[in-house]
Amino acid sequence: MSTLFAYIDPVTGSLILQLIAAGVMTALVFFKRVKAFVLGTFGFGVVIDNESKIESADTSTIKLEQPDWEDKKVA
Amino acid sequence: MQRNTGSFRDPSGTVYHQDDRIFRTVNASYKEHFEAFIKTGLYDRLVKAECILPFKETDMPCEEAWKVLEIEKLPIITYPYEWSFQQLKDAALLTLRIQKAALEHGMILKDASAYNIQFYKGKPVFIDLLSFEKYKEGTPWIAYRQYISHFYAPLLLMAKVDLCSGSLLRNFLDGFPLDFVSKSLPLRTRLSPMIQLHIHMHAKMIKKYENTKGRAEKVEIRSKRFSAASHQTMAEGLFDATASIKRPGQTTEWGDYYNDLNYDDSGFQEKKRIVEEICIRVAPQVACDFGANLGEFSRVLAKHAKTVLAPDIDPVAVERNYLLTKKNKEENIYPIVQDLCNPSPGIGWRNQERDSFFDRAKCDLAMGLALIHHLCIGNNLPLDFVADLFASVSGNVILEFVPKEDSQVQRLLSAREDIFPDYDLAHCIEAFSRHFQSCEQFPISGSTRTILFFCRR
Repeated sequence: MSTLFAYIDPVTGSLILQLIAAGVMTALVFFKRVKAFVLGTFGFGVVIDNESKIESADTSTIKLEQPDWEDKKVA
Repeated sequence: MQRNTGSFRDPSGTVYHQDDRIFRTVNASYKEHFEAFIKTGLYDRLVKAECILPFKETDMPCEEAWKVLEIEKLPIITYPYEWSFQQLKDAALLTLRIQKAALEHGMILKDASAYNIQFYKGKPVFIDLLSFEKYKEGTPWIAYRQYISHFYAPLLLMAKVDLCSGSLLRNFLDGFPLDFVSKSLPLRTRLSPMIQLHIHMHAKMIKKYENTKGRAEKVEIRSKRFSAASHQTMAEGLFDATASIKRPGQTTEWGDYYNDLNYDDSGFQEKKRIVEEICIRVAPQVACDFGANLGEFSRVLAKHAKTVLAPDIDPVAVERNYLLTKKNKEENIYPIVQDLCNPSPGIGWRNQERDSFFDRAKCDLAMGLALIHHLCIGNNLPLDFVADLFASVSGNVILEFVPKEDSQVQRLLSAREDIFPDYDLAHCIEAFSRHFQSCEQFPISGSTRTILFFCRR
């Protein structure tokens, strides 16, 4: 692992990747919004995504991934 | 005031302890950012959403500091290598929510360390008040690599390689090196655009530019401009990418523990009744249920104890226990991944940066139900050693003795020679009586097991 060596620069590579990632993410979010708009226009309901908002940070309201665990009798 | 041995990396301030109180100094160099944190309304918004620990200002004298803040002392500090998959995921998503909120207020997270998150009242909470900076237009998100190493990469290793991978974070204080993660992940992950981008390409880019030569080229790269909007979409994209990582549906030998017990239902209820009666008598502030499994008995303790620690070796059991605490909105149960035979040591600088598990897990009541046969027969530990451990963490101990006749012990012995002539109830009581003056015995009807209550008086 390169990080074990002292004289390396881990920042620059990460920075370039961040530039690329920012571009990819912008494109993805754009398509997500177009999809929501098209679905909304054709009456499939507008997808409102507020999960990443700080006000929804009460994670207990998020649907659990494996509900079968909850149904299993534990005692 | 005594300086926290883990608080030295951040030039903006330091954490101190005094008696049972926690203080955080804010240095003059951070004044501008801290004032913006308050004035922009970000602090109030985060406190209102219960995402950050609130502070109160004090007049505590401190020469070097611009301000001294007091923050609430948490019942227990846990570290990322002690969290289950969903605990780490909830901590990751909280970090991104906070980054998004910060950007909306013209600020940005300068750290995305998993150590900035703790669990409190059943939920992750951000504890570092000095992690926010005024966003300077055009600058990158300097904590991006840290987010990937501390959260995204460990979650992927847990989901795609093995759930136990989270405990490897013990070895990597600043998160997983990305070349290590890239080499460890299965080949098929290269087909996933998000994993390819944030892990595989990221690792390659770091490798490509790691040479400290080529300064001119680097200065040009570093002059590239970012916008606040691009950081927003990045946080949103990372949120989706992190939220989409699913825990594998694997089960372990502990998964169905409560369906594979050696009691009839009345024995199970009797055990609960005995534990509850003792707990009412002790009235502990902090109780610790060693080998808690799904936390069935931790929940009995939680009715009468202010805080219940629920360590277990099995990350699947801890995961299920955590999901149950979320579902039931239980605020005083803390599921922790912990191997009693190899507990978290002190790590980092002089082994003092992160405390060992037993430095953090002092309690008024320690409980070990259906645990002693795993320690003594499964791990060859002498009864004296087990008694020493319990005596070092608490003055009150509830212990379930599981004799050799028990079918679970027979299962353990079926694969090995019986080299435990002293493993019996009398020797167990003798070992514990060296530390505790009082011993009460409660045989469980319909089973060969006995609950013992040791008390130091």
